[in-house]
This record gives sequence, structure tokens and C-alpha cells, in this order.
Amino acid sequence: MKKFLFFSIHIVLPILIGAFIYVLFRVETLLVFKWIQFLGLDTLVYGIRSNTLKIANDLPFFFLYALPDGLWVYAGTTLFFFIWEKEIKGKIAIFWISLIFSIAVIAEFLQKLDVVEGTFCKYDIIAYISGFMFSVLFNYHRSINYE
Amino acid sequence: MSRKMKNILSLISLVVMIFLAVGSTDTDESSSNSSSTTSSYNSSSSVNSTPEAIQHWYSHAYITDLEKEKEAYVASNKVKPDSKMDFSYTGTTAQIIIAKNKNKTWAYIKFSNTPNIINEETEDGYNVIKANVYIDDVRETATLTQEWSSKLLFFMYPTWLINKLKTCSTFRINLRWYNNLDVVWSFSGEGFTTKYQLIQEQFNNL
Repeated sequence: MKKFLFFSIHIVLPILIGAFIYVLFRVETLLVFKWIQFLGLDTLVYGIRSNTLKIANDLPFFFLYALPDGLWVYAGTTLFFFIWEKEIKGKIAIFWISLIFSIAVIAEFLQKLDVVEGTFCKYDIIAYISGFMFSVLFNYHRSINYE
Repeated sequence: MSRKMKNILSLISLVVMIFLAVGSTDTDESSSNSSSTTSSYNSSSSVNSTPEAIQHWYSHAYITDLEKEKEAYVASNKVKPDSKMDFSYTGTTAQIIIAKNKNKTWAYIKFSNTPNIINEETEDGYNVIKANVYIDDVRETATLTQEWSSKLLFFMYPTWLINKLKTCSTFRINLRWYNNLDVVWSFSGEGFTTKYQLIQEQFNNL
């Protein structure tokens, strides 16, 4: 039960918050809207968006564009802490735990070099670092106690 | 759980996480240009629009809280400048908004950061800015006003702007920004007329 609660709060919830930001406040050209249409949820979602989009312009840039990325890194890193919690000092565990953060940062810099599609944004980098740091700070001692 | 199982579980988790990240990919083919990062206003008509449609303009009608009067606006997507701005203005976005009530029409550019424009005349409490605009590459001059410290630059002649947006495919404005010099913001005119008609219809029966 304790593990289920931890999984829900520290992995599922951040992903859901990030997803809600995308679905409620971002443009309809994102791929997630095709998934929504595929699932037949488009009428419901666009109905909600007709209200939420009114405030989208007043929301901070960081909240709209960087926070979901930070939450994704936090959830991903925590997920690997969750899987490897009893042996987090091992090289394999460290590899997995740092993988999501590494992928995010590398992809961001590849955007700057125009190797991958997208726009480099320093706020994304700040969000990645914050998400990773929060996850490490929160989970490290917790996992150590299992060892 | 064995280490092998953990590795398999980690691999599956990684695939799931990447799948979730892919959902945030912008499928808009124009996303690599200036209108890449956008937040949108919605219109009653766009509720039924398909996600595939590329919308450059959005409209919305509402009743004001205090006066209980109807107002409506048409807003462009938020756009980034054509060239990258220096630190402290990095990530700045701009959006043209044209608003109406039954008596008047006003138009402005809303920036995410307070613009610091250098070619302006200072008046009492506001600045008057002359900016070069390019309507499908034909140069004209627009006059805008900015209250001190405001993120909004108001067009002095909104009807002029509306007429230009109705006929052009690209509207570009060049603002001489402190520390960045010429900063050009490009807006698509595509779809403007339809959305503007929508907000005009809000006042036809008043």
C-alpha cells in the first residue's frame, strides 16, 4: 500500500500534472491531441479547453513550457529509483537513474545544433536540472534506508 | 526482484517515458518557424475544429465582470522573434490581439516581457513608438503607444492594422529593442479574416 501510494504521488501524479498542462493550455497541433482524438475524448477535451484557454495567456512562460518537462524528468528519475531502490549505489542503477535526465539534456542541446527538431530553451534545461535534483535529493536517502 | 528483471522493467519504463515525451511533439509543420511555441485562445468555433488544423488566429467573446458588457477579441498565436534575443529577453513571445466592444475597437501587441524600445518619443506616462512594418514585404510605418513599464504596445490606428491583416499573408514588425537592436516579429495573416468576422458578428445584433 505504501509503495502504491509512493508510485501514485511521485510518478503518476507529476506525469498527470504535466499532461494536463499540455492538454489544457497548449496548442492543438501537439501529437497528444491526435491520441485524444483517437481515444474519442476530443469533444470532452475541447469543451474543457474552451474555458481553460482563456487564462492560458496569463500563465507564466515557465509554467506552460518548462514545468511539464521538469515534471517528466522528476517522474522518470523517481521511477528508476523506485525500481532500483535496494541497490542504487550500483553502476547499473546509476546508469538507469541518470538516463532520463541525460536523454533530456542531450536532446535539448541537439535542438540547439538543429540535429533534432525543436527549439532550444534555457528554461527547459533549468526544469530538467530541477526535476532531476529534486528526485535525487528526495529519493537518495529514502533508498539508502532500504540497503 | 532479480537484477535481470529490474533491467527488463527499466527498459520497459524507459520506452513508456519516451512514448509520453513523444506526445508533446508539435506536429505543426510550421513549428520550426516563428510560430513554434504558441499558446492559444479559443473560439466557440474552434471547439469543433480538428487537431490537424493549423490555427494562426483564435477568437473569443465574453461579458466583462464589472460593466456586464460584451467584448470579443481575435488573437494571433504567440510568436518568437525571427532572430534569437539576448539574455534577459530570451524566450520572449509576442501576440497581436484585436479587441472590440459595441463602441470601439482596439489593437495591441502583448509581449511576455516588458519591451524596452529605443526609438520612441516620451510623453506624459507613455511612449510613442514608430516602427517599420512589412506587409508581405512592402514596408510601411506603424505608430504604437506604450504606457511606461507595460507589456502592451497599442496600435494607434487599429482599423489600419485590421485592413492590413485581412489582405496580407505575413505581417512583420521591426522593433528597435534595447540591447538587441532590430527585433522582427512575424505573424501570419492566414485565417485572420474568418476569425475577425466571427467577432464582428457578435455585435451585429446589438
